This record gives sequence, structure tokens and C-alpha cells, in this order.
Amino acid sequence: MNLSNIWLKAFFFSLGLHLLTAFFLFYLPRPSKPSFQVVHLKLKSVTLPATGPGGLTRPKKVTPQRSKAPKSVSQKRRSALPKRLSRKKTALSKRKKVTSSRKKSPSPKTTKKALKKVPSPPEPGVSPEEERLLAQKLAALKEEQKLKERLARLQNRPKGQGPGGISLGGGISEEFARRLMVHLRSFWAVPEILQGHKDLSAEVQLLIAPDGRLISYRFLRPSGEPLFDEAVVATLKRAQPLPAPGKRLTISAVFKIY
Amino acid sequence: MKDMRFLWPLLLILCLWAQAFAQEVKLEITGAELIKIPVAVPEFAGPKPLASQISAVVRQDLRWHLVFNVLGEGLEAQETKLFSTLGVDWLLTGKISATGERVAVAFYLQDLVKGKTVLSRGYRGPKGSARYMAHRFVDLAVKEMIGVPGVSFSRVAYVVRRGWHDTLYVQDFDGARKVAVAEGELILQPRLSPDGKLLAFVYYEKRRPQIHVIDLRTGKRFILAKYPGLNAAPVWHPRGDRLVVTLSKDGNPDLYLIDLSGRIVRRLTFGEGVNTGGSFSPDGKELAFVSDRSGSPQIYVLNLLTRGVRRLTFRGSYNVSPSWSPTGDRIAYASQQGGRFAIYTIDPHGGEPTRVTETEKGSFEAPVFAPNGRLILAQGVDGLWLFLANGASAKLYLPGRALFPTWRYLK
Repeated sequence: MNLSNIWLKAFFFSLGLHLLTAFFLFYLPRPSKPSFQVVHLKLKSVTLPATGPGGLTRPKKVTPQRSKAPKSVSQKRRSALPKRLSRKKTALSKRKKVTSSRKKSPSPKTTKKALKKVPSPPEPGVSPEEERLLAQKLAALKEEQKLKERLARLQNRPKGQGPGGISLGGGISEEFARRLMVHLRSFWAVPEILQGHKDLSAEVQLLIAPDGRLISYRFLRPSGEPLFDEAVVATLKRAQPLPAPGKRLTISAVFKIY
Repeated sequence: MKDMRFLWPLLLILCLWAQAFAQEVKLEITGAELIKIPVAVPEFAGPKPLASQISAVVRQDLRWHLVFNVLGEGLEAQETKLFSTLGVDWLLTGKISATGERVAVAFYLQDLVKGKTVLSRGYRGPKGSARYMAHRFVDLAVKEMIGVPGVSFSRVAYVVRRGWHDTLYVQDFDGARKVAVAEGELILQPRLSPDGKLLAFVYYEKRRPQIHVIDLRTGKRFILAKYPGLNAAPVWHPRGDRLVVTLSKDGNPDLYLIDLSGRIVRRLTFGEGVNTGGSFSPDGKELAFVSDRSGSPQIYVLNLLTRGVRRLTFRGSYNVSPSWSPTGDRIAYASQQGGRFAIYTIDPHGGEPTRVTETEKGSFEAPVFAPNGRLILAQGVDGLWLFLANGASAKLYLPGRALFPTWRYLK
């Protein structure tokens, strides 16, 4: 009897340990790894400065993955990217037609063709024409580097490693929360007819795009006074664009007159 | 079984973790700027003089509500984009077509925040009625914009005093159709009936007060009360078929309920000091009146069913002229402080009064609520003044020595 009791205890203890381990393994890593950030990294690898002038190493990295993934998937991924990134990407692709044409090519066959065509190795004798092209490419690379650095900064800030410091949970830095609050307050206005209504307040959940565009809003708790709720909506509309959070963000705000 | 206890701390830990992740930031947005609602009313489309007249009527109507910032004078309706970028919330447009003496007007109200037309109405009639079409639509539009109907289609009456000569005027709220309906040595306390069709007032003939009633549709006038002594302060019952008046025929000025033929239905107060004036609650069950039974004039509320009386005002030593809001939620009154009057509102169930007027701006008395309960018209030293009921805004309504305003919807 006694013995079995000990066994039972041991069983539950081990069960607890297992549960805890499972929890740490499967539950914890998830919130810190949003799916779109994975895409960020891939894009970074695409725009990495090449070692050689033709940028031969880059396509090699990309192609195997591309050939695996069907067209629809890659497109879906691209559309899932935040706007800011895609805009920068197009800016880059204008400068570097090579990469963009490669990205657009849907099948591995055309990719190979592009591979064959584009990377013309530098000829031994450097002509002034060549030199100019090289200088251009260098400038482009520098530009890329700058963009990359900015990107990294933007990515860091919401994580709480930026200059604004403390994370408030939900991936919102204190600095951004303050900026958004100041911004909204500067637009916050209600009709005079509501003066004196100290008890009015409404809670709204905002979904903000990385570039500060308000994707949607939702009243978590309306005030009950339509005029007040309309004033909140009008304020949100006037306040656009909001400060750019650098990533898709959900945040809630409580509006009060006083 | 009791070994299950092992699991509880584990579950607790799990719950706490989940809680930590669910925690969210809430921004607090306070310190709102109090603004007038921006409304654009561009020139209406249609035959020129009439179209611009009607759009001007609409603009003026909106301005009189004191809560709108009205724009768009001289602008075309096509400049909608401009209005939107200027931060205009609402756009009111109209189209007029006239054939001979007939006119047809189509009005539209657009919510520029939501980007859709929320109200459209068409009216048809003789040319002279075009401004009433505008009033009607503005009142609907105001309901759409602030949640309570507008007061453009309403009527105001007041007394103008020149020396020892009083004239009783009736006009539309926007000032049109101003008519002098009575003249005399002394006219006091005109009160429009709830349907705005009858006007009761105190008229002094050979220095003796009487209560007269004028039917504003026919111009017919009759004497309602001519009892010995005081005949004063007519107060319409919300049903419009009875009034409360102050009579002193039994010695003390008391309140009596009378019907439209002047017959006394019921005596309401019984000689506790002077009892006068007043205003019915919208349901007609209670009457706010003034009494000095406690030594100074104060506002009391009489329940007509139980005949119970309770004192409403305790602040200040001179509170008179109660006016019950048609929405039922406030009672406005005038309070004397240091030789000046100020307008206050108070909850009919009691509580802290809210100040409407500022003493520095002058002395205001005889307040009357707008038929929609959001504005107050009161008698100032330099004329009649219009206030937002919460005191946020004020505007001179009518300059001159104008007294005793009364205000009702036209029905």
C-alpha cells in the first residue's frame, strides 16, 4: 500500500515535469517568433551584398528554395510582407534589375536562363564604362547597407532593444506608446455639446500597419453616447497616418473627455 | 485522489504564464478639445436667387443650434474632396427645381467620416413654403448629427418693453414671420401651449391683471382667468388642455389647476407663503414651482398624484423661474447673487446645480428650455440670449429690451 503510494507520487511528479517541459518547448517560443519575421530574414538574405561583382552567391542561395516552392506560395508570402518592406524592395529592384527579374521568374528554368545571361564576369581590361558601372553598383550596395541598417533598427525597436527602452508587453515599446498617445491626443476633439460629461469613456482596439496606417479599429467598450463614439471615429480618421510602429501592431486606447 | 494536489501548483504556473502573455497596453487619451461640429453647406443647385436663399436659411438654422461650425458659403457642391480634406465631418447639399409658383427641393446629408449619404428627403410645395422645407430637413439632419432633433421648425414669443408700453411678439425661431399679437400697458409671462398654437399671457387692463389666450391660427383672443386679486403665471400642462395659474382670490397667492374655459379643476397649494410660477415635467405628473414658505424664494416640486411637495434648491437665497427640460432630465432656473441673476440647471431629483451663464457676462433671468432640451433661451440686460444647456456656448439671440421668452415646436 505504502509502496504503491510512493509510486503514484513519483508518477505524478514525473507527469508534472513532463508537462512543464512540454510547455516550455511548445508554448514559450511561439510568441517571440511571429511568422512574418521569418520572411524578413529571407528577404535580407536576398538583398545581402554580394562578394563578387556579378553577385553569383546570392541566386544560388535563393534558387533551391524557389524551385521547391510553387509560384502561388511565394506570391502569397510576398503579399503577406509588410508594406514598408515591399516598398523598399521595389526601390531596390529598380536599381538592381538582376535580383528583381530573378524573383519574379516563376520556374527554375527561367531562373537558370537568367543566371546564364546576367552575371557577365568582369573583363581583364577595365574600361571607363566598366568603371562607371562598378561605381554605380558600389553606390547601390552602400545604399542597400544603409537600408538594411535602418531595417534592423526598426526591427529592434519594438522588441525593446531600441533607444526607447522598456517593452510594455505585446511587443510595444514605451517610446512608441508615448508617441502614439501624444499623436492621438493632439487630434482628440469632441463636440461642445458634450461638455461636462465627465463619465463618458470608450475603449477602442486599433490594428496599425507597420507604416502607421490604421488597418482597422474595433470598439471593445463603446461609451453609449453615439456622439462621443462618432467623435472617437472622427479623431482616428483625422489622426492618420499614425506614428509608424515598424510592424503590425494591436493596441487598445481608452478615450475620455477630461 | 489527494495526490492530485501535485498538479495544482503546476496549473497555477501555467495560468500565470498565459496571463503574462495576454497582458495588454492601454493608451489613455484624455484632454479633448471641445469643438463645434464642422458642417459644410455649399450653394444649392437650382434657379439662382431661390437656391442661394434656401442654402442661406439652412446655414443660419444650423448656426442657431450653437454646436455647428457652418462652412461652404459661395462654394459648389462638387468640391466634396476639399471639404473632406478640410476636416469637415458632414456635408449638406440640396437641389431645387421651380415651375411657376411650385417648388421642389431635394436635400441630402452626407457623413464624410463614414463616406456615405445618411439622409435624403424631397419636399414639394408653393414657393413661400421653401424655407419651412429647409427647417424640416435641418431638424432631421441635426437629429442625425447630434442625436436629438433640431429646433429650426419652432416658434418663440416674447415681450418688448418701451417705457410703459409692452408689445407681445411671436416669431419663427429663425426670426421670420415676426408678428405683434398684443399691446398694452403691461404684459407678463407669455407661454406658448405645447403644440405652439395657443399663447397664454398676463395682461393688465386698468391696472388689474388678467390671463388672456390668443389662438395663433385664427388670431382670436379670449380671457381665460379674471378672478378677483392676482391672476398670474400661466403654466401649460403637457396635454395642452389645462393650465396651472396663480390666483389670490382666497387671500393667499396659491396655485390652481384650471381648464381652457377658466373653470378651476383643483387647488394645488394651500397658503404656505407665496406660491407661483412653474413648469410641468414632460409626463405631466410633477410641477416645479416657486415658493417662499421657507423664508426665501426657492424651487419646489409638487407631485400632482400624491400632492407631496419637496424642496429642490438649497444653494443661494433667491431661486426663481423654473423651466423643466422637455427631455425631463434637468430643470433650469435663475438664481440671484449679489444683485445679478445667473442661470443654473439641476437634476429634478436634486443634487448639485450646474452653472450655465457666467456672472461676468451679465445678468440673465427667465430661462426657458428649447423644445429639444439642448438649448436655453434667457432674458439678458441687452436682449434675449441663447445658451447651450451645458453652458459651453452663448449667442445673442435678439438685441433690445426683450423679456419673458417662451419657446415651442410648431406642430
